[in-house]
Amino acid sequence: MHGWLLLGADELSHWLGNLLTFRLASCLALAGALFAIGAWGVLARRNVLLVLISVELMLNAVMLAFVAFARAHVNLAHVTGRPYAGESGQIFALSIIALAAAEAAVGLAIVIAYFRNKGSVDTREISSMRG
Amino acid sequence: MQLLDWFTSFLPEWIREPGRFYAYYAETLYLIPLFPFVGFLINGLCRKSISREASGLVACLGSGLACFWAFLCFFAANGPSEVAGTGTDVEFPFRALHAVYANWIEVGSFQCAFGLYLDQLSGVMTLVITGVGTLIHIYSMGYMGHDKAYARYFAYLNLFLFAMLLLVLGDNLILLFVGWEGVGLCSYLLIGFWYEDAAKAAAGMKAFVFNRVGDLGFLLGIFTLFAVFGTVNFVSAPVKVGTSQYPAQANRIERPDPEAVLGAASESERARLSEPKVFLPAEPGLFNYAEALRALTAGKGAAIGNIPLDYNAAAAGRGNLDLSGNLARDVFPNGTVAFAVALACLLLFVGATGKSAQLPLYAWLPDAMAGPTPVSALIHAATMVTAGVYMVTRLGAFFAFSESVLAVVGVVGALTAIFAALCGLTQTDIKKVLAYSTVSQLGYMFLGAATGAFGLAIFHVVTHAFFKALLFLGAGSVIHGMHEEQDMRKMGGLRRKMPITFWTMLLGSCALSGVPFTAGWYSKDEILGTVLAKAESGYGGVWWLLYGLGIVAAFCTAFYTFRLMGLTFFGSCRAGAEKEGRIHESPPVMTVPLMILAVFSLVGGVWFGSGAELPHFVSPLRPSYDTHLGHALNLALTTLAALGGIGLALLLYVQGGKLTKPEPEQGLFYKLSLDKFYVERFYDQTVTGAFRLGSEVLHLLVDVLLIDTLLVYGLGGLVRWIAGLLRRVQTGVVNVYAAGIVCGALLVLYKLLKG
Amino acid sequence: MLLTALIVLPLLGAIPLLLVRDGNAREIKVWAIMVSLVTFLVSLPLWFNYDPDSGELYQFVEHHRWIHLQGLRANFSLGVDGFATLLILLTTFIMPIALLGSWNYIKERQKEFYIAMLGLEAAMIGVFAATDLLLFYVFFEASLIPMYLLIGIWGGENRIYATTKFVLYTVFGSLLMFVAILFVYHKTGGAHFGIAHLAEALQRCREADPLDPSHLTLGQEIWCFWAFALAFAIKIPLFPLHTWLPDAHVEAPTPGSVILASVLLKMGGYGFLRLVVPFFPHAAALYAPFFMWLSVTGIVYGSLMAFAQQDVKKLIAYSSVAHMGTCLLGIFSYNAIGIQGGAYQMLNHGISTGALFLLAGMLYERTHTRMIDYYGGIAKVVPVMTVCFVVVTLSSIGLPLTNGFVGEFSALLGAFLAQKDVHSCGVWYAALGGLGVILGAVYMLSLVKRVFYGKVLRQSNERLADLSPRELGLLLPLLAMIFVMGLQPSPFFRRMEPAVRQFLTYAQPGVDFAKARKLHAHGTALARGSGNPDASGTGREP
Repeated sequence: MHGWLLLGADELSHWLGNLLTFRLASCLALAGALFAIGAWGVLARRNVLLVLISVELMLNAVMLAFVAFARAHVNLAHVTGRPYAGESGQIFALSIIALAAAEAAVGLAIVIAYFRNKGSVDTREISSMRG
Repeated sequence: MQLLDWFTSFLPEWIREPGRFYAYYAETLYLIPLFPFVGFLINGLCRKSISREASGLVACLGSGLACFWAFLCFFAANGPSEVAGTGTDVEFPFRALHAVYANWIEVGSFQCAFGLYLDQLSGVMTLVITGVGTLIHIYSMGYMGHDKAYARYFAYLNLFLFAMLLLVLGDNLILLFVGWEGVGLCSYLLIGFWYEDAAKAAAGMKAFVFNRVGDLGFLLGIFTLFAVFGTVNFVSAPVKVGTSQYPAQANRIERPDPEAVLGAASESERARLSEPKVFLPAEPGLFNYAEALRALTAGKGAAIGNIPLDYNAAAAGRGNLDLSGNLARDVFPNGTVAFAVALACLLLFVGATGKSAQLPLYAWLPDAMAGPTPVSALIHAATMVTAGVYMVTRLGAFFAFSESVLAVVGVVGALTAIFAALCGLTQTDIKKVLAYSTVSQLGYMFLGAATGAFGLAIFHVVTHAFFKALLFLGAGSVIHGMHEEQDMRKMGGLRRKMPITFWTMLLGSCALSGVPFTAGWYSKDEILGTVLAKAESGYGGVWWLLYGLGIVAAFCTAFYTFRLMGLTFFGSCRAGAEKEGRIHESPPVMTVPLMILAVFSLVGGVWFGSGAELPHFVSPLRPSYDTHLGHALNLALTTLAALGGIGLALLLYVQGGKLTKPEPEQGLFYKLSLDKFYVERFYDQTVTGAFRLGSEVLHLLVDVLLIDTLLVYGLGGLVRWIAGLLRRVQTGVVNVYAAGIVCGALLVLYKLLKG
Repeated sequence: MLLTALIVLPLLGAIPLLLVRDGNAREIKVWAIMVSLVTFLVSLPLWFNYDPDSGELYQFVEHHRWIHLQGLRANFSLGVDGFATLLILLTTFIMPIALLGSWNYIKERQKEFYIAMLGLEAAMIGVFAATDLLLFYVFFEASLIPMYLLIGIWGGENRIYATTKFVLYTVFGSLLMFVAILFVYHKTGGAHFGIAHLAEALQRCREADPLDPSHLTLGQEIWCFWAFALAFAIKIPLFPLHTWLPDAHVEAPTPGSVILASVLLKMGGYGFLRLVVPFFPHAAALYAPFFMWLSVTGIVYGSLMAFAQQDVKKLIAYSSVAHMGTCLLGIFSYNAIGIQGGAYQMLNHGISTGALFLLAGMLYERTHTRMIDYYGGIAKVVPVMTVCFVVVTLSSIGLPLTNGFVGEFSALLGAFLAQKDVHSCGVWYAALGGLGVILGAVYMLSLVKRVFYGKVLRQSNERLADLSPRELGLLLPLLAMIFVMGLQPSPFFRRMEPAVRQFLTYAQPGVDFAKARKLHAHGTALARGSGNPDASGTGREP
């Protein structure tokens, strides 16, 4: 049933691989940069919205790392002849997308509710959980 | 005599010749306490529905049947009876009835059962209790006639009889203790019978608590005896022949063959051979042990002190007395039998001082007069308060081991006798005079027991039961006739208005004062004579002192008794005209018991005491003592004391026909005596107050302050303080938390990378 | 299956209650009482079929797999010996009475109340039936939850304070015990949590060569002993750890007080009998005199406190402290008389103090106050109640022919004869512990006097209702038991005998106590054993 979709997948990847040679290191560098930017945003920004966006950025960075490793496993499978072992990375990526969407929805809802109540989304003023 | 025979020939054989039904009576000994108990159940459970007449009748039946059965059992034990299984009659001196009915406590090595034992001692006590008890029951029907809680009163009275009979009939110390506490309970209930009066309820409680102090001593004494001998039974278990139980087996003592002793080669050999061999029966009781120890040390004076707690006679070749499994060995390391037994006796005596109102635990008895007067007569004069004397006599074999213990008993007894007699001199409440008199007479009983002639104490118990019950009932009759007036200052001149009460009480007073040839004279004179004899035979100067105290107390007794008579019956009436007109003699239901008791007060001493038979009779363990009735010096002194006291009282209170001389109320001694030397006030105010204050202070100090505040809250506070330090980390700002996360992540990363 | 059935029955019975609406108050009550009655009937074979002469200590034994993980093997093992049999019977006997006693007392959240009570019953039976230590612990802790709710929801004004105090106190002790349980489990090799197995395995550990890692040193034993002992000493409660009890009793609703006094406190004594002494005999012997003195202090102190109280329930609560002191006095006397007496006193206390709390509850229902001074002279108004109260009072102060006497007498006699190896002054234990005999009479009789005797002090007290048939009916079984147990204690004692023998063999595994004590005096460092067999802490003679 899935046959026709997967038909020629190997050929296609070969062709793409030649076209854009995959480099794990550059992917991870990009992910690291994104993560760092996100982390900086979480730590430094005072606007909750921006903090949320930064969190999303971090999530995306992680996702990128997962996908990159999954891709790297394809190459590994080619080289070693062992069966492909990168599915979990892709699955993680898909999960993170779903999760990020949910998180964004809930988070934004909270932020909006909070803004309606307090009229502010400055993290310095949101400290009602102070012990 | 022939008439009597003709009359008795109509009676069934089991009444005519109870001795032949010996086994049957042994089996049915339980009926004696059961009758009053059934009476208690009927009156107690149906107290709402039962009619007055039925209630009184049931109670009197319960008591009367018990008395009837007690007489039959007593004669069964005393008369000729059939030897088991042979069908021939033999005259026994006295064969104790003994039966074990049911198991009770069996825990570890401790065992005791529901068993009843009627020997001479418990037999005499049973007769007194049921006999005097029945008279007082009958009297009560008149005295309590107007009371609302008639059935409740009789229920308690019957319950008391049940407990008292259990006390004297029990065949072990625990059952004795059951009765002991049981009579205490009934005393509590009856003193506080009119509980709506808070003071009366308090008096009941006071009695119970004072008794409990003694009871603790009693318990510890039981513990010690059990630890030494491993049993709490008085005698060995009854032997079963067929379906019947026969009395306990006595020890078998093998006296040495004199020829063998004489023929022995060496001195040491002779000494060894001359010792008797004692063989205990199976499951020996306390008496068996006492007798064995006494036999082993016979003629050696204090040698008993050397018997170690793990003594084994078999090893010494002297029989089978085996204390090697002794538990007390662990409790008193290096102790001897004499030490442990003396300790036990002293502890038991503490119990006796509580129950028998001796110094220093006497203070409850005067307060106990809050109860109805027949109760005072029955419980607080004739029977319950003599339980201590009974117990000391019952265990007399142990008390007699140590002269020091006897001396303690004697000193306490004599001091109580004189102290209470002095207190009685000035009391104005007619019942209080009699109460102190009872305390004083109980002191005499202990003094008698302390001479080692325990039967004497019981003799005085018996005669005292007659004349003191009489005096209390007479006082009750006076109170009844005066419409609940107890203050003697408001009486006077009653002898014409209440002649029967007057004459009977006069006889009782003579007996109490020790007028020669009345019942009280026989017993009291005998006691003092024995004390004197003991002093003369060199038991130490203390006995001279005790004798002196006894004589002075006898003088005081005679004085306060006739002061009571004078204030009550002589002179002119001080009640006021309105009240005077209503004074009446009591109905026959009350006066007939008075008359019966008066007869006994008069002749009871002769009957029981001629040649001091009763004392010998109830002292089976120590039969050898001389009677001292005829001791000339003693005779002179006691008679002088009695007549002198009476004379002085008559001089002061009767001569002028009214309260001639106002009493010297400012005198120091008068005040001391009136205030009972401040002992009771000390108990009531200082001790009670200190107790209450102490417990409240302790509650605040320890429970509230130390434990709750300092420890519990302290611990909580500590946790709170630490938490207070930690809470500052929680700022509430998201960015700070995020920084924490980052720091943590970096730390983990560092650890991971470093390996 | 009987024991499982006993545990499950109340829980099953609680399920229908979950489904009913709260409005059907009467049906809920009747159902709950029926369930507890059926549980009682089902428990009766424990009395009739437990055979102390069969040679088997544990009877009605069952084993089921429960938790079998790597390194953790606990079984659902049940079984009863003489002590447990009697305590389970006490539980199932008291429960219907307590439930019937709450008929009018509980007015709101009735459904939840009865569910909590039934759950409590299951947990209590589980505690006494468990022969697996972990299972025991689970039930021990589980019984806290319903009690926490009972006091916290249906209690008096100060209920939150009381219930928190109760739970914190108890948990403080039992968590320490949990640590010790795990230590014991691993020390003994982690085979399983069977209580008998652990006791024997610990014995092997003590006897093991000091160089062997499985060797249990005296120091370790002492730590574990204290962890266990603390839990049960709080529960029983022993003298300085007792302050939760008066508060909990005062605030708890009547049935809660009844159960708390009758059964929950017994878990403490049961723990000492079943776990503390058999597991750690050396440490127990070392500290037995200490515990005896604490018990004696508890008796005297509890009695004095009871005398100082103005609140009926608080007075009874402090009397519990005194009574449970007597129990512990017997248990630590190390002889059969004392142990059986102590255990018997636990049953007595369950009966008579349960009855006292019921009566206090009945007074409260009538007047809505517990202050003693509010009453006075009501004997005239409520004669039947007075009779019941006096009878129970007499049982409580140990009057002969009531149950209290048998237990108190045996426990004190046991203390008097306290084993010489362990104790040196049995006479003083008995003499000072016996002060409870006097003081008990003082505080209980003064309670009776202040509540019932004298003149009626208040107008409102002149029309108090006497006992209703329901109230009389629930008191009668207790009154009957007071006399039955006072007149025929032998069947009870006989059932305990095998368990006592077992206890004594565990408690005295051929130990030279004097030597052990000397070792301890030298300091546990020496006893910890650095290769010197003489300092191994067991101090066994060759």
